Amino acid sequence: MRRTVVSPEITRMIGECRLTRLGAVRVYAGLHGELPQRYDRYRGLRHPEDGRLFLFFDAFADGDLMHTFTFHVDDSTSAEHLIVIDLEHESRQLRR
Amino acid sequence: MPADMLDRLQENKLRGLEELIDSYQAAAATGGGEDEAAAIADFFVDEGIGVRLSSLRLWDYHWTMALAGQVPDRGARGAKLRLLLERGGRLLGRVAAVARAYADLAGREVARLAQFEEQSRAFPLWVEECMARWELLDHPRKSPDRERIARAQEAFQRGECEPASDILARLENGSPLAQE
Repeated sequence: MRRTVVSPEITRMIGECRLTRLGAVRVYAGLHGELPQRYDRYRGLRHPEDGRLFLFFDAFADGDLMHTFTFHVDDSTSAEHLIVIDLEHESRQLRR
Repeated sequence: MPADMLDRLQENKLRGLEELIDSYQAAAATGGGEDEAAAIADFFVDEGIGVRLSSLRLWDYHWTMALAGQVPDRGARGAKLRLLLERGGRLLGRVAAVARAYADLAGREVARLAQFEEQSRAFPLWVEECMARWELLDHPRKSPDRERIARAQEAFQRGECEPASDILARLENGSPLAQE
């Protein structure tokens, strides 16, 4: 199974998403667990403008906010790794 | 199939339990034997767990199909999926309440009930999370940032990219997000 790696720039971007510690744990649990485990499902979702990348989605509630993430992942540079190259993040108030 | 067939199976499962629970909800107030009440509580916990699991399977099936590009009308399919999952969530809440009423009548704790109650409470939020993911499928895509890609690849070549597992371990140990 491939191993997910994250550049310092992406780590910093995740750190700026106003997540609680538990929220940050969920992000990295998804990148470490679901992403490589479900790689076969996600790999077909190539980025429309760059075929080296595919998209991985995550969404979870953290406090009063719903956070959504679209990660851009490079599976072309290394056969053993999934390199998180970029991310799109949004948050919105939860409907209660 | 199968998406429609699976939806119908789930609908039938929900309807069956909704009808059943209507009658037992009223009967819970009238009392009865303790052993029978415990058995009824246990029955509803079983049924509730079944509905929860079938909802998880329903989501997993639709999500897998959507990722594979095999859901042509994702808007309509997503709306239908949300209705079914939310209906399941409401039913789980009712099932948990009825099971609790019968457990109280029995005067003893019923196996798995506390865990099922917790799962029932968490279920509506799980549905919201699933549907937020679903909406991402049709979200406008950001163009790749060529400079960021180049920086990430250089960082990878220099061995500066960190395994997500290491960051996760650090977070779980209460250490800072970024490496010191």
